[in-house]
Amino acid sequence: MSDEFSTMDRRTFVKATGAVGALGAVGALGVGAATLGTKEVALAEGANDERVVWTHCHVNCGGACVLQVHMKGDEIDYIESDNTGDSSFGGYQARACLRGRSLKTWLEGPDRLNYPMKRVEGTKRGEGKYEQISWDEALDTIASEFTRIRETYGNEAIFIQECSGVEQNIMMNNPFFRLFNLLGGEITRYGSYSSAAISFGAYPYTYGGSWGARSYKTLKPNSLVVLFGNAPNDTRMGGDGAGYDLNVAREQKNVRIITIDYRRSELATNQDVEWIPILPGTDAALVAGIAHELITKDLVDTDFLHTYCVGYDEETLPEGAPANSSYKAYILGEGYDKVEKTPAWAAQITRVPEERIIQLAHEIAEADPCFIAQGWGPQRHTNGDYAARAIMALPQLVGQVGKPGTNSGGREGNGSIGLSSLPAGDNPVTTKFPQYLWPEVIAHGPELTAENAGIRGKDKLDTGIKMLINYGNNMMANQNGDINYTTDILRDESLCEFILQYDVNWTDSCNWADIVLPDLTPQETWTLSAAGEANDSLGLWLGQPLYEPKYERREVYEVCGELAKRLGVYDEYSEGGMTREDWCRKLLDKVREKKPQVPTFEQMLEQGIYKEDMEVKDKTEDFILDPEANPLKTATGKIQFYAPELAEFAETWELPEGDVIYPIPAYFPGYDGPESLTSEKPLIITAFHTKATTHSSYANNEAVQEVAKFQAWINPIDAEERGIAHNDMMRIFTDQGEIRMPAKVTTRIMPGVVTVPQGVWHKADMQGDRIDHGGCVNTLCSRHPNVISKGTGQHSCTGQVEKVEG
Amino acid sequence: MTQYGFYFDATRCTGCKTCEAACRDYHHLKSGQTYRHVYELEGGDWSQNTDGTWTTNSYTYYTSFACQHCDNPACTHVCPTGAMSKGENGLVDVDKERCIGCGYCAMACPYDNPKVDREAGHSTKCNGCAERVAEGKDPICVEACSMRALELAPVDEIAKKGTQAAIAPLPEPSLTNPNLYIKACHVAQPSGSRDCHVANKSEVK
Amino acid sequence: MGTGFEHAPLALFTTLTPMAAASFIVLAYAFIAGKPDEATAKRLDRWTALPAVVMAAGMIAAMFHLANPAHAMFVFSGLGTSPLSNELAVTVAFALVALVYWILGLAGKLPAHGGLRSGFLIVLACGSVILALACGAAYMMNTIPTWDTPYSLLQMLGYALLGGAALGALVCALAKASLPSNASLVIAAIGALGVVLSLIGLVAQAAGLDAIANIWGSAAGLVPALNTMIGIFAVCGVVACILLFLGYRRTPKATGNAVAATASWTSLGAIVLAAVGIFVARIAFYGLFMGIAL
Repeated sequence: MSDEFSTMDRRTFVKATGAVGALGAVGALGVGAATLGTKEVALAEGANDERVVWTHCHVNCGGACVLQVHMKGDEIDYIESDNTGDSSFGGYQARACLRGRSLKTWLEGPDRLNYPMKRVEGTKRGEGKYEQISWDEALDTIASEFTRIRETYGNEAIFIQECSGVEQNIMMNNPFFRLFNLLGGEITRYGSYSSAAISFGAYPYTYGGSWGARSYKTLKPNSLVVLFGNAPNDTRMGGDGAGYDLNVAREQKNVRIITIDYRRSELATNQDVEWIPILPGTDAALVAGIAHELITKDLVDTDFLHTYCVGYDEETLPEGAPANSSYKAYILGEGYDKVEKTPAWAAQITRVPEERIIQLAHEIAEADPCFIAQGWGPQRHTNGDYAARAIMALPQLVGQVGKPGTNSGGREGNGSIGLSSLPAGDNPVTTKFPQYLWPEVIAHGPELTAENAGIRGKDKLDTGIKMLINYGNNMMANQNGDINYTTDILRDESLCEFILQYDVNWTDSCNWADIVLPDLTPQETWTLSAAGEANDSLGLWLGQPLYEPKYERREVYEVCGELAKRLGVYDEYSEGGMTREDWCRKLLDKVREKKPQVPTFEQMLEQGIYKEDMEVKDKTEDFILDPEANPLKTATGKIQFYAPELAEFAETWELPEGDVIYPIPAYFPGYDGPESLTSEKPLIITAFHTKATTHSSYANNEAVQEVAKFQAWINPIDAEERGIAHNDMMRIFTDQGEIRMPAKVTTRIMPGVVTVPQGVWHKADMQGDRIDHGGCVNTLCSRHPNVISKGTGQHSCTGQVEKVEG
Repeated sequence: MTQYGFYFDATRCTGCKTCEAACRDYHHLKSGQTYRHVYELEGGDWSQNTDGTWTTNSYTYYTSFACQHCDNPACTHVCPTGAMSKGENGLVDVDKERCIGCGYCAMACPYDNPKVDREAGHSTKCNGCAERVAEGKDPICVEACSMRALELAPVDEIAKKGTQAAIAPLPEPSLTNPNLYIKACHVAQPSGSRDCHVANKSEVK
Repeated sequence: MGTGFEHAPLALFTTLTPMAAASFIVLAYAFIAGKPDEATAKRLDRWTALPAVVMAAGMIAAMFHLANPAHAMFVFSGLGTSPLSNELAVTVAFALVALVYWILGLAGKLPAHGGLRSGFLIVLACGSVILALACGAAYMMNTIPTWDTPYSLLQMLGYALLGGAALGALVCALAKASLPSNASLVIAAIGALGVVLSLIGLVAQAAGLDAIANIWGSAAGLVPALNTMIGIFAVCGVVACILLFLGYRRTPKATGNAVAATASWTSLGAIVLAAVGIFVARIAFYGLFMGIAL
């Protein structure tokens, strides 16, 4: 590495790490003003330069957990997490889960990228032949390609993909946006792979945004919690996460929890939580069956529905809505399909026994308060827009929305300390597309319109993506639905002309790039993060580099600075030469403007973290108190069973065959959903979030996989039919492709469903049979997006499973 | 001597295995080595009703355990060299300078804890993070548990919170008098139960 | 749980050492009942190197089982409580007495007849039984229900007798010792007793497996080839006994050296068969390891 480019000069590094090391036995590490106690961390003096470096885990689980890395010289000895403050059950410590705790082997892993690489000339994308190049050559190439593509196709041809791998800190991939925005901008996406359907297909048309969401910390004693496809103990495992809060509430507030899911999540293992198994993709049908019971037994809160909602019944339909287009009409068999949504009807579809549906309706009606929340599983189906809205309708029916101890029926809420990220500047390009459609934008850009693909900011695209910047993601050959289809598009160099992959590990996505750059992990550089949405608390973590950069790895802010120099905008980009460390200081100071109790940068250097417990939101929403004065941001200003916006889309949008837009949260089976099963494809093949990874992050860390194996779940009934025993290798195949994965034969999954841990690394001969021996579920997933949000429908798939003999 | 023991609140455990991961990291355990096990037990079955709906009486629960630092340890009993012995706070540990690596402790322990590390030339096992406990800290697994389901404390304290470990997959406590006290979860099966089976064999064996 | 082969060094130890020890039963018979002359006694003492080598081989095999033999000096710390310490103590004590006996014999300090010779041999013969029982007892732990049975003792005693008979017979044959006329019967009977005891032990242990289970399943499934392995032992043992019987059978034409020559071959055959059979049975035994819970 040339000195000019060094990420951090040696003096700064020594100052940084020395600050902790020099403390010796000085205490008060990691104690914020508002924390409950202090803890002295005695550091071994002198011996082999032992020191503790504060940093944190930040991938895209939604959280960021504290790490105290015990170093011996430049080597990691072991990792501790947050041990400050109150360690009792109910206390607040951002304890890292198994993934963060196993970071050592990941940081030292064999897949780490060490040098800039470029695809060997004359080889095709996907062949995987790369050669080492200098940083200068890499940066010169990227800068010149940027200029060429911008001049040839315009800025709309440039796209910066999401950065799931480094999601939580102030930097993320903002340096790229900051740089490109100084040079005319780039096309951007809306929605995410996490929550596109609920955020862009449900919230806006129901509440006008994510209104009424509350944390599990707000649960009232003896209340009933009903969760749909929500597994906080699987996905938000940190010691201050949603799963923890729910566990605390269950024990300390005697909260009763029912989880509706196709698999027994960790919520319903040891904890006394009732699991109602449901066929994936049928949540809206279950809600309809419950609604039927509520309506016919007069258990709905009619006052609430008439005061705050539109379109529940004919009386409250907005102007212009046709007769019998209300939700009630739909439920009672007077709606568009003239089918009465009895519990028996719902039982047929959901496979939940009729009696249980009826009982659930009564339990929900009788509970006060009733806290209903959904995870992001239901909305990741091809009918996810509807599922998400339907689940939100349930608490509305019984008036359990917007009040203390309730939730919106959407995702549970969380706090935020108000840390801003690196300012990205203004993007002159306002065109946006739904994120899931990026491969289609590459392949068919100019054919995509507002009406056929949800393009925003423009009626139609003028160009496809010609320059793809992948920083901190594994999107190309792992995390996007239908890898075989996607990589076929990427292989064609006439479509996307330049692809950059910039990451910490050589993922399979690297094999589709033209240039691959080696990044520092967040633990190897300066980083400032807020406790994320999966940490149900307020915290600020300042991460310091564990050691000097190894090999030729360099962090993104500095690298974009080098590009800025080449593109003539360095001064504006760096605001006169600010470093990554300077930005951490500046953005921390910005939080201090609003929260003076937050420590200074110097104090944070010593204590590493600052945390304060969240204020528990215990007030009724303004809209509930006075709906006229505080309207929601929906078209009608009210909670919408019937969304006039959607009625309009139904008139104007061009949809794929089979897709329909309903203004109400009706049950719609969706593409390749539960009603698409055939004798050739008799199983629903879907995915779950495994504790071993955060998406594809850490999925190469064998230390975690040993503890939590990658296995696809199959019910003993389905396994026996196919002669499959525990840990047998299975071939799982759909119309899109085939993977291999060992079986976990378990009663924890409903018969007829096979679920694959999401995030496992793709490994296939893409020049040959394309059989994915790695076991990436996205080899199996289709490209069919959600109807309204155009968000991912990756959870909807049908297929078959066989034992691999031998 | 105050005898210390582990407390496991099974009603809080979510099977995340962070205890095991933290232990492996802290003790620098090699691939395949572990001082803490998280067993996933499963029982019951599914039946389809005439209308095609499904009902199940299945259940799943996790049990996390390491060395129980027993009052009557099978490992120290069979150890020919005295390398395996109870030390400070009643924690059982291996004296690397005496151990011959005969593996009798590994065979005898009904909790599957000691294992011979042939490369290192001695038995290895959970020592309750004795050096941390001596400093007044918690063992790494206890400190790591997101759900605060684990504790290490004087046995008379933990005996007030739970009962001596007698749930599957663990053996009858009468065998070794283990210093593991458990608050059993609602679906826990008694020691020796044949109604449940281990659902994560490939993770624990 | 394993296949048993992971304990091959232990299987070798428990095959070789007890048979070497029990060969002194035959030697005692050869000296006390056979009343050899001094020259024959000398030859017998010289050929006692054979059991010594076999015993040493067994003990070396045991060393391979240990991860750190350098600490072997500590192995008697568990005397009284640790069945392994007990086993090793008995083995070492036996080996020491046998060594003293052998050195005295080679040095010509042990008359062929008399109290000293008989005393040593009786002690060693009895000692070999104790050694065999101690080897068996080493596996009787209350946390390993498949092993925690008197049949573990019975098996070891049987193996010692069978192997000891064959090895002792070979020593006698190589030393060209003339044995009493009933020798073929006596030696074959010792071997046959061994086969019977072992088989009772094996079959009874196998019959008890159905009643033993832990969380992983029934002990009956631990060694799928268990019956075959017991069968191999039985065939090897029975044929070995027949060979032993044939070896020392005096026919009108065969006397003296001719008998010894025949016996050398038959005993060699018997010892190889016995060793193979016992080793197979021992592997099966280790395959039957099963923790009481996990």
